[in-house]
Amino acid sequence: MDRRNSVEIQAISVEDAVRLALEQLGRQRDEVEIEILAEPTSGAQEEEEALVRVTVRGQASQPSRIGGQRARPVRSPGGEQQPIAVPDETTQVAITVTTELLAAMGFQVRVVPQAVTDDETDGPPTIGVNVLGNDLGMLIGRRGDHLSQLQYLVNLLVTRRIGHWTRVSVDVEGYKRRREESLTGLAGRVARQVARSGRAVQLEPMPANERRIVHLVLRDDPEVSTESSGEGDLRRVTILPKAVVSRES
Amino acid sequence: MEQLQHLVEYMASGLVDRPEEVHVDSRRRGPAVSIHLRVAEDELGRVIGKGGRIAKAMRTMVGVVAARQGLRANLEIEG
Repeated sequence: MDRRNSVEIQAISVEDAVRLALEQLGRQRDEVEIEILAEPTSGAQEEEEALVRVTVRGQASQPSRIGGQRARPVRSPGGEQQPIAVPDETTQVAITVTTELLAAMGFQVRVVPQAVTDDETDGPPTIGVNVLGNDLGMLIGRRGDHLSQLQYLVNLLVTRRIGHWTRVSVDVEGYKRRREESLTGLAGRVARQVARSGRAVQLEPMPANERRIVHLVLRDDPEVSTESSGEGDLRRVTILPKAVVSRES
Repeated sequence: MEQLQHLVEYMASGLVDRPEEVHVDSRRRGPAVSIHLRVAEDELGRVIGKGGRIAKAMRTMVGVVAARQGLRANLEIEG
């Protein structure tokens, strides 16, 4: 995979987020532009994490896959590369269904196509939509549980409307994308630690879609392997060192 | 409460083959709303799902809307 030029990272402090982002990009602080997208706050109800976007200077983000199609990079007059989203029919239906369902729930939202990570599984390609609006925390829920249920319903409704099985990834305010970024960073860091120490590390319990990200990120890692254990809400990933040939014999 | 009823109608109608046989009514006692969904008997599976998965997803959405209105909602489904 190509070296990425831009990442968004969520962490408990801006400084942590920036450090993780630099680690992922393999860059120094003076080589990048840092945008603080959210400052950490510890309000009465929920703690907000810091969110930063770190972009390597002089390079625009790489074009990503949007709406089930390869986004076409175009040269804008400014000379910057920008992916343009051309939503296909399935994406349009997904946007319509998501907007209608949320309107029926009393949420005024804007639904836009969102790039999805190519997950290389069988079946139809996953298309992605992202829901934007105010005060949408309840659509995410604890550990993204409400969002998973919302996504499940959208999938059923879209599949019935277009008449064949499809997979739609529904995100709210980029929540899943941020989680994916921070889990990718976490998996990499813990993997290196496990490789160095030779000791397995168990991650916090996570929902299935998040465990899957960790497994995928480390699938081809030469030094570690991953496995899940535990039941239900307590299911968690363990990162283990791969058996090494004993040097003593 | 109308919103809750409308939401259940929208979801159920999109899941079944015969939306004209979807009937929803609701009753309210204080903050507790009881919503009743009826679909054609042979289409029950389409709104309940394997292991009740679809019903659970609908109840989650109903719960979100109810909570925003300071209500507690209970969704009952029958064929």
